[in-house]
Amino acid sequence: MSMSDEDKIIEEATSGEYKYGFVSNIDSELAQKGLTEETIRFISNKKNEPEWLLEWRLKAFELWKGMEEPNWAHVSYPKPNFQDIIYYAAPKPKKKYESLDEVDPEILKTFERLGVPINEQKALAGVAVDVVMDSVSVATTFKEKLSELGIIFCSFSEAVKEYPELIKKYIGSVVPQADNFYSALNSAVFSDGSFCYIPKGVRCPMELSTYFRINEANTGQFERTLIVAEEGSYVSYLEGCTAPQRDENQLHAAVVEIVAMKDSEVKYSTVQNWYPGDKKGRGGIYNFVTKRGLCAEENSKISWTQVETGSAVTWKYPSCILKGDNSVGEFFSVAVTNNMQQADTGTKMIHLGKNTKSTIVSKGISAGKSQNSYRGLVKVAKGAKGARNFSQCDSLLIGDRCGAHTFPYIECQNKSAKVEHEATTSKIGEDQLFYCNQRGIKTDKAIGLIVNGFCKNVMDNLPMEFAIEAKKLLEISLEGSVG
Amino acid sequence: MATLTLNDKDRFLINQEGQDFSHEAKTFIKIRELALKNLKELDFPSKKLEDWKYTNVREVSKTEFRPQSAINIIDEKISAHKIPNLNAYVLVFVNGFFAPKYSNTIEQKESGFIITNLNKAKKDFIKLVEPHLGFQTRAKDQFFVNLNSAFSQDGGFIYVKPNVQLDKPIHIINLVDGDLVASYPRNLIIAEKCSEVQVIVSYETIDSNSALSNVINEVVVGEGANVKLDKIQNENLNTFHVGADFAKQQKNSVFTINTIPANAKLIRNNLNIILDGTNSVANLYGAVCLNGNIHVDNQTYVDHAKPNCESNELYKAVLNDSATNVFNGKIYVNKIAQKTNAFQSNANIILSDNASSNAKPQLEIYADDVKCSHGCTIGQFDDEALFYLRSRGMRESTAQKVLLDAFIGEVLDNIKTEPVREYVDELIAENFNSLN
Repeated sequence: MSMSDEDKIIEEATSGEYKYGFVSNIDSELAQKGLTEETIRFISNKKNEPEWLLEWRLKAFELWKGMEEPNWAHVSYPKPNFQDIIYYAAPKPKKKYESLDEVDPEILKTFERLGVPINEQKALAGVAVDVVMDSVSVATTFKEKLSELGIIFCSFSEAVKEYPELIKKYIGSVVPQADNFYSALNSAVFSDGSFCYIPKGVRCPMELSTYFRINEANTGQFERTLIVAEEGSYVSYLEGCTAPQRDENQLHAAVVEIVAMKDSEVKYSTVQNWYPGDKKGRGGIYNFVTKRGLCAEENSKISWTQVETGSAVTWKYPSCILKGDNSVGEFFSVAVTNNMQQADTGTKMIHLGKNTKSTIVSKGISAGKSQNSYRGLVKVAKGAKGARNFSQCDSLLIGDRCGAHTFPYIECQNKSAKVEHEATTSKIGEDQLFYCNQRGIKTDKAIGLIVNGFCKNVMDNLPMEFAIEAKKLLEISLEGSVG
Repeated sequence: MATLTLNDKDRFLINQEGQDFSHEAKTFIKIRELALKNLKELDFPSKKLEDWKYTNVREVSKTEFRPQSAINIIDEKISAHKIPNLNAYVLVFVNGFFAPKYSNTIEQKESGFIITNLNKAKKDFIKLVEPHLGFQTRAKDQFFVNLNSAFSQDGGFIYVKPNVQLDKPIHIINLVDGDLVASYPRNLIIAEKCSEVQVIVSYETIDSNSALSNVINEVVVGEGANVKLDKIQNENLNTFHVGADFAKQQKNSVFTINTIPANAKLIRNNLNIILDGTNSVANLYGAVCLNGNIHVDNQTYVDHAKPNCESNELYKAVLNDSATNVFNGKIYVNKIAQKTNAFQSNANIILSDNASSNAKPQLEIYADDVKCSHGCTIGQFDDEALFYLRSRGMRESTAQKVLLDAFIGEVLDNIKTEPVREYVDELIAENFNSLN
């Protein structure tokens, strides 16, 4: 392949425009710009929250005021002005919806344009979609079917009202308010999110799914998700996001907490496609997320699978605390960066219990002028006898203006643990391309083939219907060179 | 009355003062002044700094180390620290000061090389020293590098003319004698175009008093030159050793460094290699065999600044008792450094529940046509291999030693000089006599 061909392909690859950029006009109710104690009281009041939750928020706010923004990540961006953000935006409440017909047709249209019409999904895959538009849940489906099994799947604010004991018990138990700058911010101002509770011995019969969208311009999105899996239960949870095109940077600081009890299993899959900014790096979402799972009791398992293609700046480390003996943590990730995107993502596996196991498979693809970093921690504590970890981080570079970096931390404090880490960085081999060309496959198709092969063992971990969407996103992100 | 409160760093720095460097040429005094200025601005390294996350040197700042010249050096004590059977040019430094009585200097113009002490070279060979001394160590952010730059007493100076191969290696012996000595030896090695030289630097202590060894080796590897550096760190268990090695490579050159941290209370090594010419190769090897409470921290930084270069890194560690090992390796591939091959491997065997290992192998890559990989493992002896040896009638301890030799041998095989290898083997064997 000649140099100019290659340049052309890179040019094409990096010129893919964001396809899901549109704004739907929904009347929303906004909070005043800026963050003060008053803002928090306003949010809490709007949501009719009990006194203890307000106290909890205020405590987080106090802690947040004393914290500094972290700057250790391998990313650079203009720091958001936290006083210039609207901390609450909700579609005006129309009380409760009995069926989808009552939902604002604008919202339904938005989802249709995204290619995920609720109506179809309802029938198609048996997926219960808890739609979060901006900050408040507006439609919940399949609720009845789930409630027969005792499964609770509802918006966070609903859960605060209906199941205050559960929320009180688990909120902040995995990600405490003071955990980091953004988790403290989230704890203070979170607007809504999802709550999921699987009772003892229940295997959730369908994939639970939430679609997040940032809709209101200038709105920070502060979601909070809490998943509790009781003894012997199983749940697969999907989270996916697409956001409209915007010129101003928007902040997204979500918190996800998972608690897995004895013999339970939680599978959490994410497809993230926030608006990445245009080719020159203008606009785009800041995605600063704290995700953490606690394998609280023995034989529990938490598995994170993520496909990251969006956001201008990503800062995300889904982690597992393997506290119970024989518990298992998994992390599978594909992170694609293009144009001026920056991603600093990875995982933490904290081995505390005996015979705990963790697997990390991370695939990073950088194109354009983007920077893609893996940052991970594997810590084996003294008591974690027989702990086992395997990590693999591979990076693929497309074009010579991007960067791929690996920053793993490996700490081991006992003699019976086995820890392995390996990482490679390479570009798409000329011999691989030649092989495909020789067999009549065009270069851009060949790149698609190679990239898909490169990510295959992560994609295989996604639920079927999600994998299709993920593949689509990958193609959009690397458009021109892929597919 | 207002009293000035001094923090630990200020007190520490005051203790280092009092040496008179006014006789030096202006250009060298400038290096010291700049370093002093940097020291004033820098904090004493603490665990808050990412680079010192796993290594605590707080005790250094709290101890009253100061530069002291040695009194009453006894011949036998010096000769005890020579490597047996090693035929080499020897330079001896005690507490950082040159000991000419025990050294062979070569300064004649007609010979192809110069071996002398740095202070002499600063006067007699200023034209050779000036373009290189302190150039690689100007890093503003490294406290201990600046500390040495500011207070270094003396060190070895080696200059090899183009196309000259040395007939035998050079052995620089750094000894510490006395109580609470702060010793700042600094070596400068310059290998001109297509020359070849091997330098062995050993750090040892005469008694068991607490000391601080803050050392620097600066190496300039000319075009097509081949430089080997063996670093043996064998100090008493009360000594803090903080060292930094700098190498700058021109095109087609080869630089190999073997680091053997065997004994001390705490050892920290910072290796900074710049591959500044095409087709050059850097090899970094480290063998860490520890028992007791020793803490060893190896930091490597390989900067691929030019295309077509190769770097190989292999660090292996065996940890017993309460020993701690830290490995922090970074490969940096510059935008223009296409066709880079960079490999890094770190393997650890932990023998005790009180031992711990921390690794941070990093890749930072800005070029696309590269092959870079790193691997890191932490584990134990292979049960099957142990069983195989046991089934053939070997005691468990013997079997373990056989496996240990094989494990660490892969690194030590890169020490090509037989007497040095024997010396190192012995040091390591001593550390594992207690193995049961």
